[in-house]
Amino acid sequence: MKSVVFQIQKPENGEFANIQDACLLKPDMALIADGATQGFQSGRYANDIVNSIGALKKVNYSEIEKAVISANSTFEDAVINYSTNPAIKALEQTKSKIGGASTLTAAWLRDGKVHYLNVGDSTLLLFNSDLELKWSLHKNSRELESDGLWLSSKDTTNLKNSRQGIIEEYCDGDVLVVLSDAVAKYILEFQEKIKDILKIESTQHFIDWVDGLWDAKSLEFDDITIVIWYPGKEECSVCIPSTDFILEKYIQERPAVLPDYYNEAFMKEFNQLKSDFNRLLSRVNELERRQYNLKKSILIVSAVLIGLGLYLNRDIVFTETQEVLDSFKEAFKPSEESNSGEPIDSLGASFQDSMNSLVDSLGVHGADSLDLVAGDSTVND
Amino acid sequence: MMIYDINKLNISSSHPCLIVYLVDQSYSMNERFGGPWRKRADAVAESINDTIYNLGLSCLSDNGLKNRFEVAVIGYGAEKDVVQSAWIGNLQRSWVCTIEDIFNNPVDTKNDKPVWILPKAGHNTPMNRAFENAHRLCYDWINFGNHLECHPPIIINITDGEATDSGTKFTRLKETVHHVKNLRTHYDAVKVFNVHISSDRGGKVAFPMSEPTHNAAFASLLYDLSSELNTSMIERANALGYNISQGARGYIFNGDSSDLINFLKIGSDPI
Repeated sequence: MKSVVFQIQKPENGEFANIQDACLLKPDMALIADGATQGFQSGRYANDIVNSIGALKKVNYSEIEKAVISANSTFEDAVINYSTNPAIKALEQTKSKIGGASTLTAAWLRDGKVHYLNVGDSTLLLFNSDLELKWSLHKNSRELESDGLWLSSKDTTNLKNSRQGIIEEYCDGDVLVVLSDAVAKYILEFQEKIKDILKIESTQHFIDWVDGLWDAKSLEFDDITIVIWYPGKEECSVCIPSTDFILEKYIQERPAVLPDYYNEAFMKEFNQLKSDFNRLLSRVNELERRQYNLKKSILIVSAVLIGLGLYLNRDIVFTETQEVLDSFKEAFKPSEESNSGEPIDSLGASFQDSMNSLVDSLGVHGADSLDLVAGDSTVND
Repeated sequence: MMIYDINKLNISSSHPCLIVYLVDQSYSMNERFGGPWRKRADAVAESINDTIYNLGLSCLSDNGLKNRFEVAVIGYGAEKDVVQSAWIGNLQRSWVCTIEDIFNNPVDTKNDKPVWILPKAGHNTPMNRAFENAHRLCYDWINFGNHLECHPPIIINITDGEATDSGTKFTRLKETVHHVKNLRTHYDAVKVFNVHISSDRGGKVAFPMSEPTHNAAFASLLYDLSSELNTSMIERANALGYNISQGARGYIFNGDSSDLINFLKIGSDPI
């Protein structure tokens, strides 16, 4: 029968050094301070509390309260190295206004009696030598879960309203177990499992036990701290891993690099559509180019054919054109009569004859002649 | 036998949660909302930026920022019938980003807080397409790495109007959302929450437990499409003054700007 501390960090904390639980075990005292995620640098705050209480020469309620207030000052006075990333710095500044947050469950032996003080969801259980539960701070896991209080480095209200008392049920030979929240929920639900904990003999054995429960989804992924305390017994041991210990299994489970696109299927479909569209677009462009070339070819061939036709019929074209020109010349040739004032009717008849001959030469059908009406006008030079 | 009890699940960087925001960017988001010079699109963008900032706060630990949440913001309707990632700047090509990526790549700062999403209001409301995209996204996310062992994704749809691509009697939209809600991790099915914002002060429905007796068919549809809130969400809603109990749906109709902010707070914090 010896008192012992077991601790393991939650996988996301990386190395064991980053655990946010702090604890203390002495022959006359056992305590856990569980840094709360809701606070700022809560692991450091939990350590400040434990160090401050651990330094007490005389332990009682008022001394513990003074020690916590002193820890608050230590925490608040520390220089904060904010992130160089402005967005993360903004987060740190917002959270620093909340201050450090931690639960506290402390039990100490004085005059043969066990006293306790508690704020928050770390808990304390008393088992007899047959490992039957005699007393517990929280009655069940539901009561524990609804206990959302914690100590704050900026406010002592919860400290003033802490649960305090003497465990009257305690007898010599009994064992007290102080637990952080996740494992407390588990033990409150399955009390007989305390026997498994008391059989644990080494750090590796403890790690395997916790890992088995994590695998079975029976235990929350959280920092796990268990303090087994036989009040007054001098022999104490610690089963904790080295500061650089990492739960590699969980790091391997989670790929470090995320894919660019989770909706790969969508992107495949999108890219396929895009490539189909581009293919169609290039086909349309190709067809347009061909159509343009075809039009150009038709125009050239047409021009050549017309030119060739004109060339082959050049005699006819020349003769007929000559005739037309001649008829025009004839029609508009100045005569002696017209100069001497030939009546317009006579000139009009002559012009009409010329035009009729032109129409005939051009082969215009459907009209016997062109009727030109001169009206009352006279043509003058 | 392994029992997956969501009450024993902690969201952590080794077991993260995906949150998908579907943001209506249709033309009507230009309308006034919660103040004379404030448009609906402005209010939505601000609320999402604030919510992402709060997610960052819950991811900040003693030794840096932990990727406890992964976030997608999908805009729909900024261009006609188009659904696109609403991230801009360095995150533009990504659909889902880790908190660390998000806080390393803000595009602006407003009141000393980072900004990632800018307001947009353009064309129609292709809500069905947005849910189709969310389905693909959630399907791929769930089947990646150890995500089957994680909290199921949460989809929060923010809209101010009816979908323009929901089919006759909304059948197409209903079917798509049904498929989304059928996706699940070992712990639970994907959650779909809907917030309908409006400048109309009457006829508000918030976290109903039964189908609203509202005249609008769209109000009944959104009720059908929305999942039930979990216990911690109900507690948070009650703390914000909503007075609801088990069975309440994650759904608000005709909500104002404070409803929008509260809804995002409640829906984005599953544990």
